[in-house]
Amino acid sequence: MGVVTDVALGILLVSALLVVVRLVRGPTTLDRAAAADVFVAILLCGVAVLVARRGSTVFVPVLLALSLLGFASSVAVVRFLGREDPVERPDEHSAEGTDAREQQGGTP
Amino acid sequence: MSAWDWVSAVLLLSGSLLALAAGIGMLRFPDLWMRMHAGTKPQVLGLLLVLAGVEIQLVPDASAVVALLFVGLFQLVTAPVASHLLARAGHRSGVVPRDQLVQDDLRVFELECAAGEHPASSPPKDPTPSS
Repeated sequence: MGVVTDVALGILLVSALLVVVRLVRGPTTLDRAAAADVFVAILLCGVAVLVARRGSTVFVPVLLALSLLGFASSVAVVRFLGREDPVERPDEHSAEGTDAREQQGGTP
Repeated sequence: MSAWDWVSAVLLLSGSLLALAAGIGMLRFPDLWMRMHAGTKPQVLGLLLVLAGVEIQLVPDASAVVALLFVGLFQLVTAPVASHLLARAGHRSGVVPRDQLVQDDLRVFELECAAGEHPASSPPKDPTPSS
């Protein structure tokens, strides 16, 4: 089992690094919020694999707290951003975005 | 390794591979909704698979198994709410290109609300009306 949990932790580490790249690069704040949400989920998986690896249940309350904290944080960020009007726009979609808004009646 | 150990190993590795797929998808997909589509995998199915694998390892310890079941339950309840809020914020802020959508029901609903067809429901929060 040690080898399996090591491999699982390695895969989770690589995927967490990929998500962190998106967290740093993400063109808008909403992309960063989505990436942070996925990062919390991967962190939950990692702590769960750590519980299986050590065979001790010390980190199970950490899992419970983290699952609720990730939800609260992502909802707080998204609600906060929803109030602001000028959300920064990604470069790659800016032209298409303005076209769509003009066609559909100008809602920001 | 017993048979349950093999089952647990398969569950742990498949959950981790779903997390890897989410990482690749978050990095390579072009807009917010596609990234959310990729990111949902470890949020729901991947986490449930990993938790099932861990529960098989901890199975004599009933309190830990129940706590892990609650973790999975919380994630099942909260992940759709957060994704819904995030997708709607992406829709309203214009981050996602909406001209590629086949059907845009939220836009239709906003237009109907603006036309006063749904007086009971709350109108869309539109800071800068087009009129």
